Amino acid sequence: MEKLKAMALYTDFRKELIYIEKELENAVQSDSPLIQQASMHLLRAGGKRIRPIFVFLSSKFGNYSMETTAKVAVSLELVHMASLVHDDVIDDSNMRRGRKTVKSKWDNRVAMYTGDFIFSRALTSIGEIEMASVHQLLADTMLEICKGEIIQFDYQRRTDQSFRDYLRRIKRKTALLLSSSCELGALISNADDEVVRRLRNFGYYAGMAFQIVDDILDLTSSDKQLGKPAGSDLLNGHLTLPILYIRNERAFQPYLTKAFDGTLSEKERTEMLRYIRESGAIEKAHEVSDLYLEKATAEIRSLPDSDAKKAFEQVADFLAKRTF
Amino acid sequence: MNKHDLNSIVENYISDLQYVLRESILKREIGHFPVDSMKAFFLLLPIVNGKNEEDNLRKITLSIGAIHAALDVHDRIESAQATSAEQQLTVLAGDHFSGIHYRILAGIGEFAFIRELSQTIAHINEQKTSLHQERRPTASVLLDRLKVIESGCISTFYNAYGFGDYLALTETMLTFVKLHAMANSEEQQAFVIDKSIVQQAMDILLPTLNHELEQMSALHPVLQQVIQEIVTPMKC
Repeated sequence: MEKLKAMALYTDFRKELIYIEKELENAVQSDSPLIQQASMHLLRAGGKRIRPIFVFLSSKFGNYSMETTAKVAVSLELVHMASLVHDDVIDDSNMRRGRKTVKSKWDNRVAMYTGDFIFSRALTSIGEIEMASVHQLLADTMLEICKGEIIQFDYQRRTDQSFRDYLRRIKRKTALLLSSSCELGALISNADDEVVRRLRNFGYYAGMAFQIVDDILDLTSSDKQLGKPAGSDLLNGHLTLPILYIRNERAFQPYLTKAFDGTLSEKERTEMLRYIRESGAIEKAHEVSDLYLEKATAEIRSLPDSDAKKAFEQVADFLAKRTF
Repeated sequence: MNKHDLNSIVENYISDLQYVLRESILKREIGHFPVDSMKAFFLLLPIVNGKNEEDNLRKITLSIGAIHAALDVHDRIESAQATSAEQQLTVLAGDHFSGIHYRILAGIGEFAFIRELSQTIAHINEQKTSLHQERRPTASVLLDRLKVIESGCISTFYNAYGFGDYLALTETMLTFVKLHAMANSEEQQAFVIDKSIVQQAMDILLPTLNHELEQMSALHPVLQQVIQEIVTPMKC
């Protein structure tokens, strides 16, 4: 369903998206029936395909080639998918996007091998591009994302985090890959340096806005909408922006303590979510997200008018204002 | 070259590999990950034997060491329960090592090798998944799968850089060493395979191993001696 909504948004790029879906399916073909099933299970769970779309849109600012762009776009989506399979092992998550996770449907080891398989396919896809700058950027990005996860682990269940810690964390978790998606798209189409820089910054700011909204939705959506329990970030020990605003409020602290030590009852989870939603923290977090969105659109304002620029503005607006 | 020189070469390589894989939080929380010295020895075998000290080859071997570490460490994840901090960080450690392997190859522009190695990594994970599922594979299936898992990356390296002459010996040795470890429960094994099947696989492989050991004349005498010392106790 979510994928369909995203498809509707990207209506001008339907051809590219259909091509990407086909290429993603080709990329995860495997001699192992189990790996094939697990990979297709992931693909069919959908997703917004933001990274591939960002690659495509950015590449339209230079000498666009659908085949070349698709190799990079597929690679980035596969890197993202591989990291999700492993994240579900780390978080012991049973549901994602309303479907059983690979670790839950099979087991942790199958999830590890599937993730490593998908990651290797990402490299096979991008390996077709013989540009040193492309590979160096992707390799650095992947390592930074992993470093971000290690740091996130280090910060798990710690309430002494600053706003800067949070922003640094979501930069690595989300904004970097979106920024790199834009930069890679621009690089492979040989766009001007200034265009590459602006698109990289756009991806970064849009990614920050996107992740803040994602963190808000984890607290404001229903379990059904999320396909997992609302408040999962807190239950997994991750402090997000809305919580940073209220973590020191006396009435909230018992919830926080119980969420972090795994003793929060179902009733208390409902009460906690109501408290957060009525606290004003959601609105404050939205203000920060809007600031990032403004910065994102400012970055591309000076770029030549085109369908791609218009689509970027629409996509950024959707990502920051979405309700699912 | 004497045995001491050879040990120093392998130890220096392992030390360099641990340096490129270092990550402060991982080190603090779970310590150094052991590097498989047997794989390191066979990875370096053609370079040591041919006295090839090209800088790019050095980097490529480090990249292969990094992917070996990544794949090996992910075998430590428990199938059913991986909620401990150590297990969670082990997942991330493997991903980190995997990223290091790619960054090294990206840094030296080995695009063709990135493609070839990535296909091997995919194949290794397919074989691991199959072996994870099969409790009673036939001995020959077990041999085929272990050959890919244990020596796939090194074989890809040999084929890509003109060291094909070393392929059969290395594949046979690494597979035999792994079977021996599985048969003797020397460490916690990634795959639970019936020991009678493991023994059958060793019996099938032994004539090939003996043949390969007879064909080692192109190797430096010290290398021959070391290989014999590795394998002789395992054949008893």
